[in-house]
Amino acid sequence: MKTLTIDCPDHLHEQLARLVEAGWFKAPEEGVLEALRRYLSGHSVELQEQQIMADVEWGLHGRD
Amino acid sequence: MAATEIVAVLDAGPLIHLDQLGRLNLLEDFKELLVPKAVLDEALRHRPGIKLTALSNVEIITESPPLPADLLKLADELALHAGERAALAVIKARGGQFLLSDDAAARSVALAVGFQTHGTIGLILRSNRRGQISKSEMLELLRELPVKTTLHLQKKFLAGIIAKAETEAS
Repeated sequence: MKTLTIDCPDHLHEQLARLVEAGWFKAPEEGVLEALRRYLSGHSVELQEQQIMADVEWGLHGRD
Repeated sequence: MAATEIVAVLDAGPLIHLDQLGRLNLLEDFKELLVPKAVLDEALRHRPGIKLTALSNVEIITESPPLPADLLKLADELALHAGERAALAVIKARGGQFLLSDDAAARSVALAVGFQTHGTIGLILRSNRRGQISKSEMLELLRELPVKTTLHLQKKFLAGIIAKAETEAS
């Protein structure tokens, strides 16, 4: 486990605080981790390469 | 060559990367190119000199429609940026056929709601298929990607694409 220290812009911190207050997370740190997990799952190298290979097929052999 | 009947919505990635290659003209082979203002702003932050006015088929969408609830949920979950959200909202509202994006998350959302998505590499290969550029020009552009652009790809992966294009392109 690593410890990261970050500067969080006020508007993001306020949104995070609202989510904590509403009970979505126990603490802001938990919200940051969840956001990071979701970001990484949507931006994985494997996903990008899979999409590009589909694009290569379209680029080479598509009809439009 | 006559432009196709395709209406495409642009995200910032292909706009930036094709401009870095000096090949924005490859985008002329669409009937219409819809560019949300948020996308243009993002592209201008990276490429202040970008000249979209050189393209005759561009329409800048100054006020993007709101993102429908189903897309908003996905966009939130995948932490999409303002430009990506605007591009998705425009394609949904205007009924474009393609979302042109290099962002895996934005493309996932577009695919999930039934739109075709293509990126810079697909556009380069297509431009050869459509007769806009020669095979050697296409291969040169692919080789220039890591040198001239900010489209980050693993060397081995790009080498595989170039080998495939060398074999299969006409």
